[in-house]
Amino acid sequence: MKGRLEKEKRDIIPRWRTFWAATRSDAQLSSARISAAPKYNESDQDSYEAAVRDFDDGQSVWDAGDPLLMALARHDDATAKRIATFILAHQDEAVPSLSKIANNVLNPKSEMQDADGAKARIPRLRRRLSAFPRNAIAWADLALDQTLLGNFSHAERAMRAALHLAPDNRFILRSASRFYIHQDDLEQAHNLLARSSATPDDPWLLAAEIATARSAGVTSRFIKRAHNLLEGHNFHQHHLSELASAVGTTEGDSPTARRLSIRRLIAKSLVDPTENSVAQAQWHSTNTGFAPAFDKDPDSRELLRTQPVYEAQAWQAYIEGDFVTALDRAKKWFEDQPFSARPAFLVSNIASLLVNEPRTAIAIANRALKPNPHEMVLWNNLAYAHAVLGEIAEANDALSHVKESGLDATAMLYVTATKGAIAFRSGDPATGRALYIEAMNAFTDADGRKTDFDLFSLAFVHLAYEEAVAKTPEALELYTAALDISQKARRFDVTEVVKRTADVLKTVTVDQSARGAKKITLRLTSDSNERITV
Amino acid sequence: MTTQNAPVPHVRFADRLEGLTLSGWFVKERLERADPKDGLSGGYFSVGYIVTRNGQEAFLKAFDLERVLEVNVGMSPMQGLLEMTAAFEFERSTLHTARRMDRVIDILDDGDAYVEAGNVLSFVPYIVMEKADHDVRRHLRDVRDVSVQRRLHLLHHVAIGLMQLHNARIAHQDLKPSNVLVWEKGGAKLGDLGRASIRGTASVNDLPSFAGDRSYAPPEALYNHLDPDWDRRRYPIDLFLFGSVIVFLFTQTSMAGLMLENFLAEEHRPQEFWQGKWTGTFVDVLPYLENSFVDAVAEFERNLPPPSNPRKDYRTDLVQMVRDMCHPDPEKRGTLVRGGDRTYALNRAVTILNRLYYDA
Repeated sequence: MKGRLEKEKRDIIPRWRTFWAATRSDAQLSSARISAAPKYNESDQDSYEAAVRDFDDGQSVWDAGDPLLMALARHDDATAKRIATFILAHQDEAVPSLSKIANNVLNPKSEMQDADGAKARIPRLRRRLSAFPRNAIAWADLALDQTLLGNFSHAERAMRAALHLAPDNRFILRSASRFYIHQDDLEQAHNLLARSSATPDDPWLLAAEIATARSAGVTSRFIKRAHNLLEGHNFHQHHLSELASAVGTTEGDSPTARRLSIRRLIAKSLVDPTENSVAQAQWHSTNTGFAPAFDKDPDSRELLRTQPVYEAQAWQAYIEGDFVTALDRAKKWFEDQPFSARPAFLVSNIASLLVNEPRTAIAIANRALKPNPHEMVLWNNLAYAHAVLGEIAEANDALSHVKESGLDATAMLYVTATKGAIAFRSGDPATGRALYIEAMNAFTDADGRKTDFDLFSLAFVHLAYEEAVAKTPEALELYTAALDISQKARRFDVTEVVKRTADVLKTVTVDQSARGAKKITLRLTSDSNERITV
Repeated sequence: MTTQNAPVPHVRFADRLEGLTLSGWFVKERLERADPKDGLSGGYFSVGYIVTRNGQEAFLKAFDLERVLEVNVGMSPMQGLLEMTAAFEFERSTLHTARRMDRVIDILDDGDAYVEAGNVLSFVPYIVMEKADHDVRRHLRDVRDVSVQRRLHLLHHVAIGLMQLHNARIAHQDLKPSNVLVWEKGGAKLGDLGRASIRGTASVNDLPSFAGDRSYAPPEALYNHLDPDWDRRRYPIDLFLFGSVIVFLFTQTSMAGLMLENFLAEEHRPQEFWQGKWTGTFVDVLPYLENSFVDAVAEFERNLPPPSNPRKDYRTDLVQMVRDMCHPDPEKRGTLVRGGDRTYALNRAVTILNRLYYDA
């Protein structure tokens, strides 16, 4: 039984990517301000044409390099390809780097950020830094890779080096802030941004400061400044997207918030949005109502359909019950943010139960646990996925990492239910049932009322599923009750578990009359008087 | 019925020197024109010739005054004439100043030619300079597999030439492969002082933000971050250009091209020349430039052929020199030794290159 995330609080804190990925994902590293186009310099075009002429006249690789790079800068693809073709035809005279540039022109390739590649990237980054220690960008990338491997002290040292070298750089500050959020040092994450002299004039830094202030539970002193930037005409819309979202989210917390103003800010964040802004708006659509429902609003649907907005797509597919799509998008979200536990929660949740891919759940959980070794829900999810596969020793090992003393009631439900699943899969249905009942009891008051029907129903349908897998005498009865509950719960994940239960009970014929039954009383075991009524 | 003779088209005086003898130099062959791109670039309209005297060949550069008056150079004809005349005179006097510098192209003669007898307006000012076999680009092109030792030898001479200029408070400002002149059986000299700047002497070359070839320009010139102080502005530019020549000899491209195009995202490239999208400040873009610089230096290093004597590996010193000369932050160039005395940086470069050449 898994974590439930879609209701969790969300702040539009910065995404954290390698420098290479950040330059390709959105325009956050480009100049934000609108400025006049530069004066055309005729001599530049003359220089370019002269260089191309020299190449055409000389027909030598020694005349090819300069005009090739100039052609690439000018997006003169025809000339670039022509020169590149020449270079590759004369590779015996060209130096390796020139051949490589030419090859890239004719055979462009893309390089994906690869979380598994952190181990391979670190030595390369170290060599780079050894040759050039004052490269702030490389230090920031090293911090990310060290975080992916769980080497947090190394990561912090690297990030501090980056900050020392470029204390007001947008990429460095946002990355550092996200690093400290990951380390649960929200105060530091916020202070870095609040104290930088660059923040008041940079919409990306302002957005991050306001969002981290909200995360840290403090008030940003830049809200008014943010409004000035949002109302002015000095910045391209895209660069204001996360700022509008951050301000809207923060102001939406206030009990005196004017809903129309907040809705306008969230709508503004969706004009040429970042992927992060879309995810925040999707969260608003299901949690606060400050954004229109994504399943109904045509503009939102268009965004989901056409843009690589993986987190928003994953959640929207999840709540619409399209778990195959949700898993695919959640995996892409995880690949984009492989240090983060949130996408891993969703992947492992969907994979191990809703679409029957426990191996995927295990793989992602294992990767995500390196940068998140204390995420109890991940250990729990890993344990459950192993249990589903009958890998009891591995399941127990994973569960042994969960420190129950620090868990809240919701988390304890998950852990208890997972213990129940392990017991069932170990061939001990009685213990398993008892554990599930214990979990459900936590959300049932003395009068039998359900204090959290969502969680209760999830636990119940999971119990029914385990009973079906174990082919217990109570399986059919519980399935029928689960069917009834699923209609009341109106949750796709609950319905999905019930469907899978039906799949397991292949020979079950649904008794229509049983559907109306309001109460099922279960005996814990044949000789026990302990019962639970649902 | 009579037939009128068609008017003979006028050939400009500067184009009519072939066959004349000027100061003992026989004008043998007309070469290419060299036109500045606009009137404010610091150049002037000229025509080149091969000349000979006593068996010695030389290069003659003739100032084309008429063309100044024909072409719209973006200013009044009189202003254009004044500026280009000043540019010509500046180059002439700079060459004279550099006369005893053995690694800078020598001026052999200069004067004014009168192409039409009795026509005082037919005068053509000219400079006669020693003629090299090639520039270094053509040398590398025509002589296959130029050895590492030879390249180091040429670079040694370039460093000497630049040091000689700097010692005379002259900044070259347009050092690039086509201005490194090579003798097949000799070494190299720096040519084309037409864009130079002399400390304490105002010239048209001081007007634009960068007087040299913009395709080789250092980053600060293209991001409009030039220091108003003469020393802090001019010397680092020359160091960058020198480092770029080193890079070219081994990568067939310029450092500017590698740093500002190949390894830099379009968002961070300068709008000037490289047609990028950066509209922010130089300080803000500097971390990204430093990052792409690391890649550019690494690429340069990967292209260096292995040494013929493994115990005397030239590569480390050469890479360190490029790293020092081409740093994207002009304040960090030439600071490798002696705490930032940039005039010393070239002395050191000369010494190092001399050693590397002998060791190679």
